[in-house]
Order: sequence, then C-alpha cells, then structure tokens
Amino acid sequence: MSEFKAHETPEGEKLRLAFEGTIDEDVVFPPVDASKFKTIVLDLKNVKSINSVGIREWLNWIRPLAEKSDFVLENCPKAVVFQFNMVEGFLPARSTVSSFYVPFYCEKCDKEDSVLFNVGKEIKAAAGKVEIAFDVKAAAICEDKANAASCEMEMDVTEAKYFQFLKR
Amino acid sequence: MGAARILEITSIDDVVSTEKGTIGVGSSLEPADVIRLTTEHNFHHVVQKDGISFDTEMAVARTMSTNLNAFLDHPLQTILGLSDVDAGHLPSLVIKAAVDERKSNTIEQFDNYLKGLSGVRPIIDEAMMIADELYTNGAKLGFDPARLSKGAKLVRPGTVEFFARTDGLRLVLGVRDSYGLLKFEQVLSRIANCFANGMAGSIKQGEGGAGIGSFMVFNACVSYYAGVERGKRSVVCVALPVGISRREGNALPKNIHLASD
Repeated sequence: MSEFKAHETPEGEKLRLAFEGTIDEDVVFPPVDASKFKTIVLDLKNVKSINSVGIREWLNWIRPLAEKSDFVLENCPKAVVFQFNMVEGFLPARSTVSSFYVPFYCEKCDKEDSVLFNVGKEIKAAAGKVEIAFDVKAAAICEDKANAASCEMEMDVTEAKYFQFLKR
Repeated sequence: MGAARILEITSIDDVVSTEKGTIGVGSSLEPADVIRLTTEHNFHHVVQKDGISFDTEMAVARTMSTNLNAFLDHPLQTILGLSDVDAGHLPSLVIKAAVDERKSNTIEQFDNYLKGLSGVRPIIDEAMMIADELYTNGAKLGFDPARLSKGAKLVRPGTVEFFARTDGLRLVLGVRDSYGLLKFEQVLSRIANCFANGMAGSIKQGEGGAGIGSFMVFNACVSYYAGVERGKRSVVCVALPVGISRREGNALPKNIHLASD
C-alpha cells in the first residue's frame, strides 16, 4: 500500500492533476476551484488500488467538480477501468478517457503485462462500437526476450465488459 | 448435527424455500441468483458442478454444516481439503494483529507473499482488493463509528487474523476477527442490493464503504465462505483461481458457503 499523493500543475484554463498511491479511507483529494478551470486532466497512471470507501470518496470529490469542468482521464490503470464499468458516475458524464491500460497474459510463461491503449489509436470507439487496432504479436510485449518467440500473450479481459465504458 | 440435506437446483424459478443449512447443487447459476438462493430460499450453501473444485467444495459444505468449529479453527485446511501434513508443505501466510494496528503492514506482507507465487499474476489486483476489504471489515468492528477512518475511536479492543494459502489451483485468503458480529442477512442484502441497483445506487452517505465492499469481494471471487460463532469470532474467506487467465476465471460460476452457531 502506498500513501495517496496528488501533484497539481495549472496550465492556464487547464488543471493537470497526477494522482499516485492508494485511494482508500485515508485519501484526501485536493480541493479544486472548478470555476477557474475549463478542463481538468487527471493522470491516474500511478494509482495502485481503490477500495470501497475510496470509491465513495472519489464520487464525493468528482461529482460537484464535474458539474463545472470537463474531465479528461489519462493513463487509467485497470483497477480504475473496473470502476468505470461497475460504478455509475465514477466516470462523470462530462468526461472523456484519453488512454487506459489493458492487461495481457501468457499462461505458458505466467507473465502479465499492461499495454497503454490510446483512444483513437490502439482502440477506436464510435457509434456504440469498439474497434481494436492493436496487434499483440507485432508489438512483442513479452518482457522475457529469451522466450518471446514462444510467448502467447493474449488480452486478458472480457472485451464486452472491459471496454463497456467506451460505448456510452 | 446430522448430515446436511442436498437439493439439486435445475431452475432458480422452481426452487422452494428450504431448511437452514441445505446444500444447493446447480450448474452455471448466475452470481445474482446464487445470492437470491441464500436470501430468498434459505440456502446456506450453493455449489456449482461446473465451478472450481466441485468435490472439495461439496466437502466444505458438509463440514461447515456439521462441524462449524472445524471451519472456524482451520479454514484454510477445510477449504483446500488438506491434512495437517499436506498443509504444512504449501506456501502460506498468517498475520495476527490488533485491530488498531496499521492495515498497511498486513497488506504489504500479503503483497510480498503473492510475489513469491506462480500462476497468480492475473488475480493479484483482485486478491489485494479483497485482502483490503476483508481486513477493513474485520478491524472496523473495534471502532466507533464503526469504520476505519481518521479519528475513529477504538472502543472494543480485539484482533484480526489474516491468512492465505494456495494449493496451485486456488488461492484462499481470509480473515478471522475476535468479535463474532457478522450478520449474514446484512451482508447478503447489501450484495443483492448492488446486483439490483448497481454499486453507485447502493452508496449512502456516511456509512463507510456503504456495503459495496462485500459486493466487490463476492464479485471478484469464485467461492465465498463465512462462518460465525456469535459474540466470539467470525471467519470470512474467498477462493480465487490460480494458473488460468482472468478471462477464464471470470467465466467460472460462483459458490457460497454460510454457517453459524
């Protein structure tokens, strides 16, 4: 477990917030004056986990802000993507996800890796349909270069569930 | 106690209410229906033929129905169907802590334990989340208000014992608290509420995790086990599949086991 931290970088009408650590009962989200920022960019790359109390704290923090500012969420780890799909409002109505991680797993070498999918590049979503434009073989994501040739990395999610949030 | 009654479930709509302790045996039952069988039809065990380790799960159901203390004393061995000798050879973790100790100490040790296991990569996030929720649920009983938040006061000193073991097919983790205050009806109704209304709809202000933690735990596991000796101890455990992908694991139907004195 790691302590929650938030790093703020105002960029004119845009506020960039990078979160790291665990979102749980000890989380203290930064107070934000939403009237000052048209857009709030959340970089969630270093969020390790989120528990049930953390979900409630997130909703309490983001709901009022999302009424005034647009949110862009980037580098979303799978723990966060799970919440997008399970908790209504976790991903506010006035928000977009620009990139998120997708887990890949090889049963043969018991290796897991997460690949960053940029929306519009590795994955495209339009008119309620999702199209994946990522070739795992070509990407050669296996870290174990000695076994890379025999590695059979596969996307380890139920696509209909994991990418559900892109269809809204 | 006598032998537990076993009822075959062919369709959820045809099931009638049963006597306490009945073991329901089905196939490919949906998670929400598994909960319905416990809340609406009084089943305390639902075991799925196409679920994980069916024979062992049936044995767990019988043991919990007839010898609750065996489960409460030795949950890992009961669930994994192990003798004392076999159990000693498997990698395990046991951490006993006072409820006011830092949760992170236990969670970090569990994280390190997982790093030493093979076949658990796809379930690490789920296992860590479950460990957090189970530990929090056990420890919060010592506090007023009954949640682990900054400033909550310790009013009932007690212990939380966290444990985990794998047999290479399943990772079992759980918590034993020294309170025995777990109420199945409350936990099950919260899970049912999340199935019916979604997690966001179930969140109420000022009630800790608002019960969605129990849903998250049930949703992530393939088997859920809970036993209570009232006023003395509660044990809550789950099993997660080892050595298969997350996608395959998510497709497995769920089992549930509940027993109290």
